[in-house]
Amino acid sequence: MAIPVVMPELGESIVEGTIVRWLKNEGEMVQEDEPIVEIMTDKVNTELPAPASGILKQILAPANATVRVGQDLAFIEPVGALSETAAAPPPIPETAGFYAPPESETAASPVPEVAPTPTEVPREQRTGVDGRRSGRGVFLSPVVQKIAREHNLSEQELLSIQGTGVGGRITRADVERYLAQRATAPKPAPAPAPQPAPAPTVAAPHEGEEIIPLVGMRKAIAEHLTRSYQTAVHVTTVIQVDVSRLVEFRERNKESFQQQYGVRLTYTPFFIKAAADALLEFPMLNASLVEDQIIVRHYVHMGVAVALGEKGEEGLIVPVIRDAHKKSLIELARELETIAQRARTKSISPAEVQGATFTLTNPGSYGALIGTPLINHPQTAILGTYAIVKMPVVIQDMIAIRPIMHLCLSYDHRLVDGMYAGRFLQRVKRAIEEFEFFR
Amino acid sequence: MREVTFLEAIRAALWEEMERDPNVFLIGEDIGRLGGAFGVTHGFLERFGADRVVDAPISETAIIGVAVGAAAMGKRPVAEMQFMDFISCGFDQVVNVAATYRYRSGGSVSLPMVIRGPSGGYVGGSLYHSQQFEAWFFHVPGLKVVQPAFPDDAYGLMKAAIRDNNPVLFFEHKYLYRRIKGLIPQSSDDFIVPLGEARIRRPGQHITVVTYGAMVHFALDAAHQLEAEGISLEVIDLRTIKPLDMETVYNSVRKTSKVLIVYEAPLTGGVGAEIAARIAEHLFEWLDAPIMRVAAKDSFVPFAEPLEKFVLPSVDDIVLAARQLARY
Repeated sequence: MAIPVVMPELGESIVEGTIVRWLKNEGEMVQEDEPIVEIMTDKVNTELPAPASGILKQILAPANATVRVGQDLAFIEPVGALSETAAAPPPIPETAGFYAPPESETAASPVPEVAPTPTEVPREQRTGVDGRRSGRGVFLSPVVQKIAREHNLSEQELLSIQGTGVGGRITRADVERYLAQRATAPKPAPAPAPQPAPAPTVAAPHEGEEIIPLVGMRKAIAEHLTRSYQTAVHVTTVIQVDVSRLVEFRERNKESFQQQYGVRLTYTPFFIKAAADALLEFPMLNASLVEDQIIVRHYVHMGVAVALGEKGEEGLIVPVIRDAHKKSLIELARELETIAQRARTKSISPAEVQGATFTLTNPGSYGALIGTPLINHPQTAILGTYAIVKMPVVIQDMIAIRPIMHLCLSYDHRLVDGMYAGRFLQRVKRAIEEFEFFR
Repeated sequence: MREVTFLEAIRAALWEEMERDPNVFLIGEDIGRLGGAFGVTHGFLERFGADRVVDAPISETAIIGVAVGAAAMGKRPVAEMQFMDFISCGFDQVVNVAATYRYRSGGSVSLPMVIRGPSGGYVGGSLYHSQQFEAWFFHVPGLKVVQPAFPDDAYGLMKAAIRDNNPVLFFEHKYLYRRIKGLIPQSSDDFIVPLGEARIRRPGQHITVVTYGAMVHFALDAAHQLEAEGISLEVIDLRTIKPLDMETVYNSVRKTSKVLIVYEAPLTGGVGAEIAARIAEHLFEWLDAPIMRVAAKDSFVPFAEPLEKFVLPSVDDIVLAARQLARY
């Protein structure tokens, strides 16, 4: 029975991908997890691993074809048991095991009957619609299993449904939508005969673990940061800033600002402004080292890191405010709100996340006090603005309580030395402390 | 119909039941000349006299004990706890005496009595004037437990409680007393809300919210907010906590497959735990997500307003939990 190669979800916002090229030809033997096709989306390029070992039987989507997420790209015909799987437990017959097949539906008890066979089967490897997990490691909720059983959905059919729940989980609504569509759609080619459950695509995780393939945005971030870390010589310098005036100004004006300009007054536009102005005076921090040339820029395209998901679990994206050095505080505030919102709702275009010359990150938003940000390669520096915390400080030999923020600048020591970075930070500090924004 | 506050609805029910049945009498601290700490019995002494509006000493054991004895002899006492927090002082009379009476007498003696009083937080009442003790009595066979959220239910349930032949604990959320207004029927309608029937206060599609008391209003606020996001909550007001109307809950869960239980008492061992257990036991195959609960933190209700807000559940807590469930 052929196993479909499906266009995967390569990121939360991505609904389709384009085939760059096939790394395997039709009729060729492929190993499970071996890259077989290169896919391009507006955010990432990625190689898709084979879901199973076998022969690449039929390519449905040739190079340059654009395919929606969830659609089939090709089929793989598995060929017998391969050496890697020889050590795995034998496949479980559908009629045996912990979960009874549909015939036993008359049993009203929701508790599955335990077959007398004392075979120990690890939970992760239980298969079938009635099992808690399918071969692809998909969690099927009780109600989804129940509906699938009532409508005689095959496991394959069930798993072909595009899940809209957390992590692509197939929800009750998804199944019901599918059934409604199936009822109205013309009958497809006769369903294949029952088949053994497809081989798991990943090594069975240990108890209490799950295995997630590295794809999409996470893969892009992983590759990008590795390159940055291995290329740039990272150093971080920290400076303390008294933000009394800024805090006071914001508290006093945030409501009128919102009313007057229709945009929330946050601290970030001030930091963008202070950094952009300072970068014009310290252009080496706004440069890139490319082979043996230094590209020095006299304009500032400011990247602003935006975490995605409630807990930041959906990754990170860095939208760019172009020509930040030319923009007023209000323009920055407005653009920041728009672009961050678009980033969060995943409606940002590729152009809007490209071309930054410097990056601002705000770990203060989650209360971080100090840190060492990683440079967004091939930029030369990244400025972190950290949590504003009231602290005792010494002013004219007296102890005062002031709102203090740490600025942490990570820079590439190949291009920039300590004093230059320090002076830059002093320049930013002065701008914030003396509150030069409305001159 | 007449428009009244939540408090006035309870007052009207008590008044009309006393007019209707001379066996009904009130006993409690400062309920006569003062008219009660919140004014629920204001004017009762003048109308019904000191024999039927009894100012009691500060002893919850005595108040409940007198009520038990009178009920055993055929009266229909309504005992007021000045704050439901202090029912703990009369705990033995409630759980060992009142609850067991019918059982101990082989069914020959029933106790038609009501213990009522203000409960709950959100009013800056601090430790001893903010608690929700319904779970303690929920655990005890032989008792009925009621907590309405709207004036019409408070009115109809109070009448039903007084006419019921079993001990009924009637929790009146003090946050609702003067905040919530609504229409109640005329006294001539003899309107009753039967004990043990939940009410769907807002029909919805995606998530069943099971709640009672002040949390009904919070859940309705949350439902209103989430409507804009395309998330539709079905809000079930249990009204009576014991006996539980699980049929209404089950019917809703069969439709939504997702459940959020909201209660104001501390999370651990609350009424919501039992509801969750019953759904898991009977409707396991209908679930499309974990059963979730929003409740108070396992702590006491602090006096300071920000801390009180922190400990007790909020509309935001419900919104966040519902969003999580919707996304699941």
